[in-house]
Amino acid sequence: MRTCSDIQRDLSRYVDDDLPPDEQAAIAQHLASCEVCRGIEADLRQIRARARTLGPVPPPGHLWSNIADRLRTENVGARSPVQNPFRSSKLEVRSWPMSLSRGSWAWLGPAATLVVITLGAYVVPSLSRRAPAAATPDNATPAVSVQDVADELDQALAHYERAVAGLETIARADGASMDPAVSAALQTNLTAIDRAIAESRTALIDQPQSASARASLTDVLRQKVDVLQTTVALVNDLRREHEDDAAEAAKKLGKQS
Amino acid sequence: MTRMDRTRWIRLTTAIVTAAALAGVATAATAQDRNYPALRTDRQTRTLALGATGSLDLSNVSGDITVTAGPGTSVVVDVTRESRGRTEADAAQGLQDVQVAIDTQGDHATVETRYPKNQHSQSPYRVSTIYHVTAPAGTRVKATSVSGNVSVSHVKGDLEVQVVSGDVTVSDAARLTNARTISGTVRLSDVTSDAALSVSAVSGNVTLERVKAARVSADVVSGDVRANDVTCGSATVKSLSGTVDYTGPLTRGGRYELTSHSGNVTFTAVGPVGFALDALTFSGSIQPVGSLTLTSQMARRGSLLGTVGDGGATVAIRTFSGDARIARR
Repeated sequence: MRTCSDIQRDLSRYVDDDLPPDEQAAIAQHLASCEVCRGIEADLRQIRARARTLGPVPPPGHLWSNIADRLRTENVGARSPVQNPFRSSKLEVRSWPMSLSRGSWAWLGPAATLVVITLGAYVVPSLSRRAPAAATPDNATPAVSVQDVADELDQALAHYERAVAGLETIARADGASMDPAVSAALQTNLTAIDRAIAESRTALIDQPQSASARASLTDVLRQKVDVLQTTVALVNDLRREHEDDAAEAAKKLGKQS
Repeated sequence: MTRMDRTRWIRLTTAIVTAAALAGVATAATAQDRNYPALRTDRQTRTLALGATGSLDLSNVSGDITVTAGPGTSVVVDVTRESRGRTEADAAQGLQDVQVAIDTQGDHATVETRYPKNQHSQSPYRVSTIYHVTAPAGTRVKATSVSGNVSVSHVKGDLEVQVVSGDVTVSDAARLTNARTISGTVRLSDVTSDAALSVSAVSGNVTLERVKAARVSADVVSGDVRANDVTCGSATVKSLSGTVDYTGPLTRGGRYELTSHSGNVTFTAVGPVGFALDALTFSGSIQPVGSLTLTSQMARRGSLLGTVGDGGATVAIRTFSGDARIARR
């Protein structure tokens, strides 16, 4: 019997119609009777729809090589107006550990949820699906520049950064804090993941056509999503009796915005 | 996003914040015992007539949970609350404030440790609650804890265990679907599931011994995964920085994916079903071990494709800097 947590883990892929037919059907059946999961599904669809209004991202065959060029340029310190399409990982590298070290990381759940959606519903599927196409550089598709991809991701990320900022405000107002040991463990592991992301990126710079470097980068990004998703799922399961508190906090946010 | 959707989203996420805050208050307890010299304890036992196949949803904040199968058709919940305070009065106040709520409806019971609202980290007491549960073997159990170890044995009903900080140990279980911890180890032995089994630990090792499931998913960030004698239709086993060691028989048509970023991966197929191998590493090595013979072999730097035996299953191994070892016996 699949629990709501299980269903929610697969919702992104469900929305993307990316699951085997039997799993699609099982989730559809669950959604028919579960208002909470149905609500999250609706949110996911909304967010995906928003992301798509930012413009289509056809898979250019030369994408990986171009990305590698861009990364190489960044690494030698040249400031470019074009942002790196992997900026999503940079966002996390920069903001999460800092926030954790401040000890006010109870917004981890909501922030993780948002990052999960950003990565899981937008970036990671793009990477995982489009990466193989890059192995055949001659499968010419309408030219879409790295600039286009980067701009779209930047806009999407900006959207979520604003949302995360709002939730941080709530967390601070509530004086929320988490067990230091768990906080430290998460911080250590997120740092380890970020290190792995950096290694994979460097490998991709050195060998843009390397299937293993591409696979590694995608895997590690996905693992980061999984970690955040696991964290959210665990804490989410404990939230039930605190719905009233949550509603009060939501009211506060409504007044602030 | 509509206003209604936004509100729902905010409710969900802020609820998580609230729960996290409460969790933090409680789980800071163990490290600060010396600051709370006074100790009061309370023990109570409740018997819940849920029948042979009832369901129990147990949520704890701080303290261990032990669930084991027992005779009869009732669930027996033995609860010990330990309250440490700066003074005796504080400790007594802790016992008064932190309660165990038991709600029974038909064959379903919810047992929760409840802390007072607005408790903060400067609270004059720390309370941990220890649960010893004896349930009919067929009971469906979901055990959740913020801080504490959870151990379940001989339960044959649907089983799910989730912990934020603590170890998860499950033995002789028939329908385990989830075993998760953020900080701690997961040890499963003699576990079966006719559905998918998902195991994860962010920081800690995962050990699977004699596990059977339709699908197995094990995911660790910093820690090793050791899967020995695992039987499943498909498996996804990952560690970021630890080793992955998988041994078990393969199912024809099954897919087995083993991944480690910086650790080594060792895969040993047992039994008659062969496999198509797709191994990839960026800077590590890939080596068949022992008498393993690959046909249709295609090896390049960092890549090895080939077929072992009848090629009935698919084995995909990925490492970034670790080594891959592939064997069959």
